[in-house]
Amino acid sequence: MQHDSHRTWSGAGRALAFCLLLAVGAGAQAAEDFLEQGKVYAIQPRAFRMNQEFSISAAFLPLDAFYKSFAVSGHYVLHFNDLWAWEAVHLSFAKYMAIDTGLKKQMMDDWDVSPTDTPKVDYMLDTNLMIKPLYGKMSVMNSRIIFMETYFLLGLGTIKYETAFFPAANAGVGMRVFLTNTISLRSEVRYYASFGEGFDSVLYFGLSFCYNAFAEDKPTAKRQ
Amino acid sequence: MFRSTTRHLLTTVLLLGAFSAPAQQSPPPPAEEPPPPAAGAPQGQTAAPAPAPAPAGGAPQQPALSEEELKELQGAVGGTEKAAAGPEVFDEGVKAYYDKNYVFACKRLWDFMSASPPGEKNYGYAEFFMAESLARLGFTHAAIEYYFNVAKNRTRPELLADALSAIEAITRKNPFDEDLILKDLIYDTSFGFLRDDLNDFVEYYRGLLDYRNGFIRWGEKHFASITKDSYYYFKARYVQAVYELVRQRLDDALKIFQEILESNISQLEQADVINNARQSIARILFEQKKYQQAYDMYEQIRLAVENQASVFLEEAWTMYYLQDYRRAMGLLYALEAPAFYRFFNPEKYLLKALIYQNLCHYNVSKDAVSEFRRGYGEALAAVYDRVDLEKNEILMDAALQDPTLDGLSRFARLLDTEMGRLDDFSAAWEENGLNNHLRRMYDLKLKYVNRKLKIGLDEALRQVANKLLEFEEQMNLLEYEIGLAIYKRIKGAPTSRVEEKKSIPKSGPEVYYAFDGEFWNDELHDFNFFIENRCFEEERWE
Amino acid sequence: MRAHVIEKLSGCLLLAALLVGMGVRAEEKWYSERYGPVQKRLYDLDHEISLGWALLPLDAYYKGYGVQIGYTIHFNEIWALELFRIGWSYNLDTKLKNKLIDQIPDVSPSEFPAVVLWENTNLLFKFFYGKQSFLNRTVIHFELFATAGGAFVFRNPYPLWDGDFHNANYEFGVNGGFGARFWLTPRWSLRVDLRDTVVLLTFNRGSFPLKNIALVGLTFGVNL
Repeated sequence: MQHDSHRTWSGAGRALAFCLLLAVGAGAQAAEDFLEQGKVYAIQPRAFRMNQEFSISAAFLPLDAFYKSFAVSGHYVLHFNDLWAWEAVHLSFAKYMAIDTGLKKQMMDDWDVSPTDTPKVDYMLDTNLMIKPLYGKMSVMNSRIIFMETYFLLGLGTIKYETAFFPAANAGVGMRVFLTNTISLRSEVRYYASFGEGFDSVLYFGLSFCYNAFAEDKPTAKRQ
Repeated sequence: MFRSTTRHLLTTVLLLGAFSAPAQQSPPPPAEEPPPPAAGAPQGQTAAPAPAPAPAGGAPQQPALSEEELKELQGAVGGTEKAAAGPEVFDEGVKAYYDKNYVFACKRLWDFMSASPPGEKNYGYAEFFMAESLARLGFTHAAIEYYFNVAKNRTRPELLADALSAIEAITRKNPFDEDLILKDLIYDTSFGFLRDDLNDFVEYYRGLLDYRNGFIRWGEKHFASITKDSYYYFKARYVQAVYELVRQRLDDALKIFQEILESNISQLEQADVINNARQSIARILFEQKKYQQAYDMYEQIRLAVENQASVFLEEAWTMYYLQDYRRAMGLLYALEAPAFYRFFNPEKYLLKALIYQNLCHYNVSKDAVSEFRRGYGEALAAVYDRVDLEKNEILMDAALQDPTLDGLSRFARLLDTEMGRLDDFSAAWEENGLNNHLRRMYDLKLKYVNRKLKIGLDEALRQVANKLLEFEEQMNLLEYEIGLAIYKRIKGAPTSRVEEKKSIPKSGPEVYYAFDGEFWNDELHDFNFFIENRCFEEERWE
Repeated sequence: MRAHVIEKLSGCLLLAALLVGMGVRAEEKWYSERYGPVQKRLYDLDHEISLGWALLPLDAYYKGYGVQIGYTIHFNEIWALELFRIGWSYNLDTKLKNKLIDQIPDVSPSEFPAVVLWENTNLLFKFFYGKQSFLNRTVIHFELFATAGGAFVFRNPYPLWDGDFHNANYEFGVNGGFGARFWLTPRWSLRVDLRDTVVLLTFNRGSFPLKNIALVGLTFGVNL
C-alpha cells in the first residue's frame, strides 16, 4: 500500500514558503543599496559571528503514516562570512529509532489487511549551501535581549532506506539563537525529496546544539 | 555660542548643595506645631514627658474623676486595656518582633509606649523595637523617626550603635529626612566612640555639611578620619573632587575622579559614585577639548536608560565638536524616545539647528528654530506675560527636574507611598490609635517637605524661565546667522554639490537597522542620521 | 533502545531550555527600570481578527484543506486569549483510503470520519518579540508564541452538504502548539501556527479515542 502524505507536505511547504516570501516583500519597506538621506539607521556591531561550527541535533521525521522516526544528526558548517556558509556534512542517523504509529495493526484488526512494508529511513547524508540573510534580536519576556539569525538551506545528498540508497535534494529554513560567542541553538525544518523508484519525501524537524570553534578569529566590530 | 557644560559642572555642584559660598538659602519656615497630644499620651517625636492628669480633688465644680476616667474623657486611650501598660505588654511586643509578627509587635509596643512615660524603664527599647518592626514592614520614615529618638535621647546608650547602623542602612537605599538625620542628629550630636563603619558614616555627613556651609577645613578634617577605601571614603573623595571643580581647578578634580575610578570601589554598591565620576571626567575632558576621550568616557556610563538624557545630550555635543554630525543627529534622535519625553531640553533644537547650518541645510535649520518656538512658545509667553509660572506645565516639569529638588521630590513621594500603605494595616492598628499617630506623623512631615519644595520650586522656576529666555536669545541669533548664510554669494557658475552616497553592505561585522519608530534601548547610542553635506568649499565663497 | 533515545533527547531539550534561561547574552548596560528592552512597541495588538488557511496533514486516510477565522484579545505584550478559532476543512481522500474501499469489500467510507469543523479556544503566551535586518536593507518585526487550550471537533465521513451525519463524532480535546507572527504593517500581520490537538472524548459515543490532529495554519491578522 502506498501512501501519499509526503505530497501534501511538499505542496504545503511550497505554498507556505511562497506566502512567507510574499509577506516579507510586501511588508518590507523599499530596499535601497545606499543609505537614504534624511533617514535614521541604528548601526550596531554584530554581537556574534560564526566561524566553524560543530553541532549535534535531535530530529523528528513525521511524514510517514506508518512510522514516525526520530533521528540524531551531526553537522559541520564552515562559515565563509556573515552571509554565506557551507554545511559541509550533515549526517542523520535514524535507524532503530522509528516508532510504529499503530496504523498497520489497526488495518489488520479492522479489515484483516496487511499493507506492504514501507521502507524506513536509516540515515541521510547531505551537503548544503547555507545563506543567512536575516540577523536580529528578540526581547525575551519583555526583560532581556537575545540575538538570533534566520538561515536557508539548499543541498544535495542521499537517503539510505532499508532497501537501498537514493539520491536526494533538500531545502530548509531554520533559526539560530546565540547564547554565547561559542554556543548557539538552532531549530530548523528541512524537506528532502528523494528520487529512486519514483518520488519520495522526508520532512525533518531538528533541534541542534552548536559549538562555534575558533570564534576569536572572527572578532566583532567595536562600536564607533 | 552657548555651551552648557560649565553650567552642567555647576549643576553637579548643586547636586551636593551649593559649595561656592555658605548656603544663603532662607531657612525653611518652622514646622507647624503638632496638635497638642491628648493628656497622658506621650509625644512620638519629642521626648517631653506626658503631663500628669490634673488632680481631681481641687476643682469644686468638677466631679472627682479617676485617672482612667480622665483619660477616657480626653479620648487618649479607650477602655481598661490602655491603663494596663505594664512590662508584659512590652514583652509581648518584643516576643512578636522575634516571632517576625511585626504588625502585632507594632501594635503592642504602641500600646506600651502610648500608656507609658518616656522615662519608663523599657521605653527606649520599645522605641527601638518599634523602629525595627516598622522598618521590616517598609515604613522607613516612621522607623527613622524612632531610631532618631533612640540615638538622640540615648535613654538606652547601649542601643546607640544599633540605631545608627539601622539609620545608615536606610539612608543608603531610601530617600530620608535629611534635616532630621543630618542636621539634627549627626551634625548636632556628639556620639563618643563609634566603631569604624559608623564613624565613617557620621564623619562623612559631618564633612559634607561642612563643605556645604563653606567650612572647608573642618570638612577636610572630618573626611580625613574616614577609613580609606571604604564606602564613605569614595563618597568623600567625590565631594572633594566637586569642590575642586567649583574652584575651577579642573586638573585637580580630574585627578581625584580618576583616582576613584581606578580604585577598588564596589561596582555594584557605588554605581552612582562611579557614574557621576565618569560623567564629570567626560565633562572635564570636553572642556579641555579632548572630545574623543570625552566620548569614550560617556560610553562607559552605566545608568538606567531613562536617567541618561543628559548623557545623550552631552554626547551629541561631543560628536558635534568631533564634526561627526550624523552621530550627533542620531543621538538627538534618541532623545525623542518615550523615556525622555519629560526631559526639559530646549538645547536639542539649538544643536539641531547648528548641525543643519554646518551642513548648509538652511531651510531645515530654520525649521529647527521654528520647532523650538512651537515647543516652548507657550512657556515663553507665560514668562513674558509674567503669569504665575507654576501654572505652565512645561516650566513646572522642568523645575521639578532641578537636581536640588530631586532628593526632596523623592522623599515626598516616599512619604506619600508609605502613608498610603497605612490603610493596609488599619484593621490591626486603628483601634489602639497607632494608625492615627503614624498618619499624623507622615502628614506633618509631608506638609513640611511640600513647603520646602515650594520654596525650592519658586527658585527653580525662575532659573528655568531665565534659561528659556537665554535659549530664545540664542535661537534668535542663530536664525539671523542662517538668514545671512542663505544669501551668501558664491563665485562662478551656479552648480550643485555632488551628492555623496554611502553604500550599505549586504552583510558584514555591522548590522543596519533602519529606524521605523520603535525605540530599542540597546540601539539608542547607535543611531546615525544620514544627511548629505551641501556646503561648497571655502574658496568658492565671495 | 527507543526509550533510551527518547530519554536522551529529553535530556538534551532540558539542557537547551536551561541554557536559554541561563546563558542568554543580554546587553545589560542598556537596562531600564521602567521599560523593557523596547520602549514602546510599534507593532502591538489589541483585538485581532485573523482569517486564513489550514492544513490537516496527519491522518493517513485523508488530508484536510481548510479555512479558519479567529478572534484574539491581547491583554498585554506577553499574554493573549484566542477567544475562538473556527475552521472548516475540505477533505481529500488519500490513495490508501481509496484502495481500502476499492479492494476490501467490507470497508465502507462511513468508517473514516474526518475532521470537518473545529473550534479552538486558546491561551497565547508570546515569549519572544523581535526584529531582523534583511540583508541590512529592511527590518522585519516578528513574534513567537506558544498556545494551549481546549478544542471541539466535529468529525464526519462525508462533507457537510451531503447532510449525512449518522456516523458523525462530536469530540472534545486539548490542543497546544507554537506559532510565529510577521508584521507586514503595524496593523496587518501574517501568522503561522502549528498545533496538535489530542482528542480526549467523543461525546456521542462515550469513547476516549486519544487521537491526534495536527494543524498547520497560515492566516492574515488585522488589529482592530
